[in-house]
Amino acid sequence: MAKDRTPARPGATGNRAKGGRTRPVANVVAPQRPWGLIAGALVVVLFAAAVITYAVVKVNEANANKVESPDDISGLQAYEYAAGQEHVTTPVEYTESPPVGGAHDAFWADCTGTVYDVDIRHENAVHSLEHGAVWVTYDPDALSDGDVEKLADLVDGVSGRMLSPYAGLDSPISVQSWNHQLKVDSADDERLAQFADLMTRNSDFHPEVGASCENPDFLASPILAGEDSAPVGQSDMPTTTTPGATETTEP
Amino acid sequence: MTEAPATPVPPARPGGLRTALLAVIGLGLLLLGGGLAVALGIGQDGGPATPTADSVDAGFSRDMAIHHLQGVEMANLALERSEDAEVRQLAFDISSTQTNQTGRMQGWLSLWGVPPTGGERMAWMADGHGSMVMDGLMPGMATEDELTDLRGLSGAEFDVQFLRLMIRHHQGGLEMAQYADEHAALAAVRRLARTIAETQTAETGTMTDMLAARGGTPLPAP
Repeated sequence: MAKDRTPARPGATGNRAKGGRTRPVANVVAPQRPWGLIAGALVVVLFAAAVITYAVVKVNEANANKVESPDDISGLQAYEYAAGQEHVTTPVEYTESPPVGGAHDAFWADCTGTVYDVDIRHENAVHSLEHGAVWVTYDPDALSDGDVEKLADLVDGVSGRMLSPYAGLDSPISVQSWNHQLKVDSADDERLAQFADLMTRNSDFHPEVGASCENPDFLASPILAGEDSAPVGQSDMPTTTTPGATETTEP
Repeated sequence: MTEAPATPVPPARPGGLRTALLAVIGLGLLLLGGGLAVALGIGQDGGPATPTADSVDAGFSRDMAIHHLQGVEMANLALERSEDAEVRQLAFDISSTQTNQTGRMQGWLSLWGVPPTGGERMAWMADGHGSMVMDGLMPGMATEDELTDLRGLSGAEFDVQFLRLMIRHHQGGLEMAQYADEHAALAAVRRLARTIAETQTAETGTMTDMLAARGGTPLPAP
């Protein structure tokens, strides 16, 4: 603060000649700005502003497109099928199309990142949902090959997902997991990946936590929608590979 | 001497401005301190307490993992022995699911520093469930003699005996799962316990139908 000391002006010192004690001359002159304080305040304010801005930017970045619950995905429909549904060999009349839960076949459809190019039997697919699979379906008449390719990219190689065409779908694309469904019009809809990332094997939402998606026999020769139930799974019968299911991204 | 030494001249005090600047600095430092505290996580507690060895969470994880592993052992035998596609599919489902769930529970135990063996079976359940443990075997578990007998069977005989033992095994584990669903402290543990209780109840129904279809009769429930 010493630097801020105001020097006496000549006029103010005139009294000295007369022998009187000098008096403090405060407020005699125009007050000097406290530059040190101003600089200090400026530094602190700028630094605090920088830190807070950085924090806000980081938090916003982290929250961008962040989906933490099904409620965060607009248009998602939730259902309430109880765990422990019956295994049946008979056809099931599902309320939802595609189905999202209910009674199902004893043999699940392979869902090891499987891209089917056939309409797989729904009763087998529902068993896959029970195991935590995300099942992406599309109306083959509504999508271009390029669109199907985009859906296959979402599924291919990601165990816990499967893709199949679905005849009679009421929207171009529908993605479902146990008790959850989202219908969208475009393969570019960002909610597709959000749904798939959130729901694939999400142990909060499917009944059989830890269950497998593997069924190589179903993968080799899938049962088609409308066909009868058949034991396609852990059988001793040799199975021949038929066209129908591939793990490539061919639509 | 008329010339007095120059008295130090106090600095001019634009009082309002100075106070305001000091306030700004103080506030700025306060914000910085708060920001740092948040960034460093000071003041947050470490989440729920780690379950101790005698807690429901740890007791369930340890005992259900042990119970599950015998189920996996029997299911793997069925995968090897059975020639019935439906039995083999069921066996694969049980083997893969219970192996996965055992890994979850043993992973928790490892994080909590609780050994996966040791302790007293089912002592974590209130009201003397520990007395349900016979010769170290929890309810529903097969004895070594029963396992030896199962290993000696084949064909339809094997399928029937496998289903009988597995039905009883599922029934025996149910009470532990239901107890942990109601009493475990951690949500993840309760969730897995409920999953086990619900799906094994359904699977018991499926196996009972399969057993009847193959002409077998169930063992007495544990």
